[in-house]
Amino acid sequence: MVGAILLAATIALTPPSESAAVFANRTAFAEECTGTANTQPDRLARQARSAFAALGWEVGGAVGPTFTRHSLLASATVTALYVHSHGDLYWDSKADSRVGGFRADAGLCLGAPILLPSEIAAMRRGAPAASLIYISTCHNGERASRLSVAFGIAQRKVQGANEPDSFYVSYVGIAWQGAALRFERAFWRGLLDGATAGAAFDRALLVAYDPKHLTPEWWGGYNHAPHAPAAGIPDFGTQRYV
Amino acid sequence: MYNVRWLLSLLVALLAACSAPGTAIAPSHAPVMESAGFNMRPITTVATALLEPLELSRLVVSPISVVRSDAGEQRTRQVLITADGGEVLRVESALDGSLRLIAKSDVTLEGGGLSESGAIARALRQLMRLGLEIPVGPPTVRTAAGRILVVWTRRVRGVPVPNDGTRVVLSGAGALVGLSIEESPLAAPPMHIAQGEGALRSAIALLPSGTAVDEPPVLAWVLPTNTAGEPTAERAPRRLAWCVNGVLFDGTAIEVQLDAGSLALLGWDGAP
Repeated sequence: MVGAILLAATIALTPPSESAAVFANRTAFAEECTGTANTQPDRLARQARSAFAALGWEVGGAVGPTFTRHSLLASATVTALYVHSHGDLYWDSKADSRVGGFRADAGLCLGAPILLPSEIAAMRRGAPAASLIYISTCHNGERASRLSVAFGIAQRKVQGANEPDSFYVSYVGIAWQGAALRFERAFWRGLLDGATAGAAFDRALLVAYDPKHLTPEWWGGYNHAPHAPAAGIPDFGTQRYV
Repeated sequence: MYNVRWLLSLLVALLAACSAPGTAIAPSHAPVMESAGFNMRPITTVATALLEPLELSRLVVSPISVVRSDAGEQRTRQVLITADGGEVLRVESALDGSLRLIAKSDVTLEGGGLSESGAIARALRQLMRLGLEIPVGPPTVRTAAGRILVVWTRRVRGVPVPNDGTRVVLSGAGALVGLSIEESPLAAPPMHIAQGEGALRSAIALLPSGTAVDEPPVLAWVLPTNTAGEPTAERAPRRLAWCVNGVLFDGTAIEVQLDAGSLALLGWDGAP
């Protein structure tokens, strides 16, 4: 009986496999924390949300103070995820090493809770590899970050035979928001234009962002098309050549 | 030393271009197509220079479309696709016919350990094969996700125009992934340019207390933004600005951009 209730609760809490989530930290970049008004987290989240929806995903998530450690972990099993926040190679005492991760918003300028790869991996135990993970933060595109692995995506680039049905994007070193905004807009545009994830990434490298301010990295399958499975290949209609 | 390396790269590329096979398109003689009132280089001309004849025979040209680039410029777009609709090559031109973007799809990810000077030579060779202007000055070379980016930042009156200029993206083995050429409109510079020390004082007054500002201000042509940091318009003329970089108390890097004449806040950027 107890087992059945627990199973039902787990099913109720687990996002459906067709779902995506977009999380963005607004508070840490807000005027009261930095001295300058900043709408870039909202714009980055809006771009990601529109793209996920156009790719056929049901989109949840949180922007601002409701992006907490709890809300993120509750969505950790989604198939497509976007996060914009502070990221670093944070220390994981269980792994006794620096492992990557990012901060929640939680309404805090400083000291917001950190989400570690091991915590996400624990929530995802038994779930298949994610389809598209975009971690728009500093440092989580570095090999030392274990985030992609937490989502079931090995740190390798595959093109051709045996490609995984997964794609992970993040940044190496410091990532400036202005450059990220341009790069991400081009990446989403590429996907909505019908490009595969790898081709969309290549196209985004060509847009006007300052390469001194952004070093994007990816892992997964170059030819992966990260649309919701039930959506099939989306018909972008007039968007194809817009 | 860097300039010497760059000049050597240019020489190597010139030699390579001169010895290129006869199928390479002589750029300045490349035909310009006038279709539906558009003045542009036909995609087939670009494809002949970049793709193998066997590859070309299997491709079809999609109808020309007019698009707006990410930087807000109106462009014509031509696309070559396979029989099943997969995109192979994309060419975009400004409405005056200037080539703006070439993007190849599915370029192999192989690495090749290309040196920096080797990458510059390959990039120059691609520009020459396509008849494009060779940018002035040495480029910067960066790698991202196994690709090599060779970037010539546009400079006007000796001042950089960030994000403008010529960018060539190569695979690790030196094959062309794509190239782009950006040229934003510029506003007239102010009659009087404020001193850097004044810009530094103004920036410090704007930033929260505790912000560390260690570098001297630098001039750049920037896109003006509104008070929330959003561009007023993507094609708004760039303005000459003093850029001041600092680090907030929580370690966040920040840059404020002040009008080079009035020192009014024009824009800013930050790094999470």
